[in-house]
Amino acid sequence: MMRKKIGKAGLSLCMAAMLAAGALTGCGGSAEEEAQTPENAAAEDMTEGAAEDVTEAASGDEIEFWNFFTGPDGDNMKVLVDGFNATNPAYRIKNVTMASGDLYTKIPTVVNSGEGIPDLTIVDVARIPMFYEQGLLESMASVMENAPEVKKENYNALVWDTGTFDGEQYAVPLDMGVIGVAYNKDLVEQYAPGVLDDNLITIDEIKEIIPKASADGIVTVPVSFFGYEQALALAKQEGGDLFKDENTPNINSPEFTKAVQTLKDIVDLGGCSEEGEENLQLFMAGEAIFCPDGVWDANALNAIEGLNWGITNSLCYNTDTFYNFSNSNQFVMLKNDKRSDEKEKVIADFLEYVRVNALEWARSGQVPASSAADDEAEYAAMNQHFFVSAPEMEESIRFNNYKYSGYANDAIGKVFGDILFGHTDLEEGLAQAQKQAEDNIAQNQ
Amino acid sequence: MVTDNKKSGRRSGKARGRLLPLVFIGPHLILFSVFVLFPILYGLVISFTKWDLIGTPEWVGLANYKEILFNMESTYHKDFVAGLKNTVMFVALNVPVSILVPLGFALLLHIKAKGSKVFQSVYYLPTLFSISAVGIMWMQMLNKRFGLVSIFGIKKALTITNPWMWIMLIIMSVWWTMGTNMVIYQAALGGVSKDLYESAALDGASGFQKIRYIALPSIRFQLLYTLVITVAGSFNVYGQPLMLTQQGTGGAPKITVLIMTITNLAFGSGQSIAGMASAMAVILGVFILVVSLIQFRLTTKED
Repeated sequence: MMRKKIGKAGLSLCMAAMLAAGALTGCGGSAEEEAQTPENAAAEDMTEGAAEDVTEAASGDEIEFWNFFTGPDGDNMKVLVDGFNATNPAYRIKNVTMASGDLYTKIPTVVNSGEGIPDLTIVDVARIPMFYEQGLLESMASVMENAPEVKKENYNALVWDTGTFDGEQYAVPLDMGVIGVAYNKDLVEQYAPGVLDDNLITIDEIKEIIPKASADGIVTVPVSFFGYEQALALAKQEGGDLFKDENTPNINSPEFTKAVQTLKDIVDLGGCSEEGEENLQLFMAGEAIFCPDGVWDANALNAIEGLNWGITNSLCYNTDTFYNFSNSNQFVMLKNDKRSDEKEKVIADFLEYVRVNALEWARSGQVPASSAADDEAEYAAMNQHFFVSAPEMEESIRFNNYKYSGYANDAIGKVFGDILFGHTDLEEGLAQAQKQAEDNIAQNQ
Repeated sequence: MVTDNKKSGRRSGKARGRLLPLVFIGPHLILFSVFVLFPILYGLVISFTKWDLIGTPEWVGLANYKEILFNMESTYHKDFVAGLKNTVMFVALNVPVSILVPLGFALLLHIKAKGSKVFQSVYYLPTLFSISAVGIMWMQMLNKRFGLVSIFGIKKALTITNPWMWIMLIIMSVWWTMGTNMVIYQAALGGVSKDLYESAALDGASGFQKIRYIALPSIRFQLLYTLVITVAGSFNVYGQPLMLTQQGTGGAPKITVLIMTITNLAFGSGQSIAGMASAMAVILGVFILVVSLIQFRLTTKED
């Protein structure tokens, strides 16, 4: 009887111990799994030599590099990381890829605990002023000292400036995710010949195309897809910005109201797809002439057999002036006392390596921020090269990088679709978005 | 000396006896404290602050609660009311279906027809999928232009127009989650004595009467248990409306539930408004607690 009891108790204890051990190993395992992403595995398969290097790297000290390149662009970044690691740096780059939401959620956690802060991180341009204000960013001065070619002159000046605060650099741009208007060359030929001769599509031209295209069941331009960036570009042409000053949103300004009304007119005239459509699929299927889109979709569009496409500037009221709004992935160093000078030197070497090998990043579909690849024939043949093909294109690029642009983006995103499709009154919706952004900003003051 | 040893041995034996349960529940207690109790208390504290998750929290007392509950002009009040309305609507629609459909399948499988094990696996399978996969699958299936529904001539955007979006949301939710309740009911039905059914058959009871008067009363506790957890789970709905009712890729969801509002406040694109988000989460938690207590109370009363 006693033995039976002891046996049962022993079994329970063993199970309890296993549970505890399992939980602990589970915690340890999750960190390992994060580092070992499918992208890593795919890249390891690509080059056997590199795989050996990665294995060796596991035993030495590393530079932890967090990024959110979870899509096919992860392969291009892996090529860059592996290529750099193959140069035998003093510290090897450990490529840690995760979803952007996870990355941004983890940053406060690691910063507050002071443990596990990555050495190098990719952050979107819209978050950089906010991170700077929150005191999260380390100056890039030491990096630029160690890598003298990592300087404004070697990058698109506008994107470089997005990382400059009080005359000091806090971010080094990797790319520009320009949002323009993709077009189907065959459908343009059929419904809008000559419209793209000046690389600009005016609202009047769109309105002329709509009746012809919709008669055949063809969508002219699905403005519900990346329509927000089109509205920003239109408002900018009228001199309207999303913020009046650092702390005052300008969402219900006359310029932005007119811009959204203009897009709503396109919807009302039947030029847009119906609500809830998968607009990129529509464009891929050859059922839309134009489609607002980011350059990063280039590879997905190239993969569609028979789709003869190009990309041009965002919609405009007239041909006097035009703007293209853009995202940008940027390298930053989160503040961390434990990051040594030696590590910062290797980070500088890595950023220089990425700058010089910009062509590899262009293969991901993005527009590299570095101008190193601008004259390469392979890059010139890519659709997104359009945005660096002439000075006026480069100068047209703008970034939605206010300290509180996140609040404005979220607030507009909540009402934008409902306004376009008439479920919410335009002025009421924009006033609601304005109020939301104001309330959220007030919470930070 | 011997007596002393005996006494101390008995005492230490008693002490061991007292400590033994702690050893058994210890691992769970630790995990529960670390992953449940501490976050709840931490969240409660944060709800009394203004905090962006980075700087130093500023104590604001009940200001967040006042803003959410009583400031009618505030964005937070409006978002809270809208989110709560949709959440309650989801609970009201989802809970009955999430109880009845798995119960129906469990009863069917209990007949143990040929291939019932295969069907059991198939019905349970969706529970194992992630909500992202489920959402994408259903979105594609319900796409009026390229989806499965287009084959049947359906030209309506089922995931963003009323009342279809609610109907589709409930169908998808039940399809995704019914496996858990179904397995509980199956296990419970398996425990009902066959003698009862045989006696009822001898008395001339029909199949429906056997279910009504034998099966259902016998699995009453399992039904009540699943009712409580389904209600609590439904109040925490997030992934289903987020994935299914988007207005196109990247668009805002048509059905905004309270957890979405809370998540957007805490982890949106801008600086975190963690204090307000925590206050909303606490109010939701209290709401769930009250509903659960009422359910328990009703159960006890019937007992």
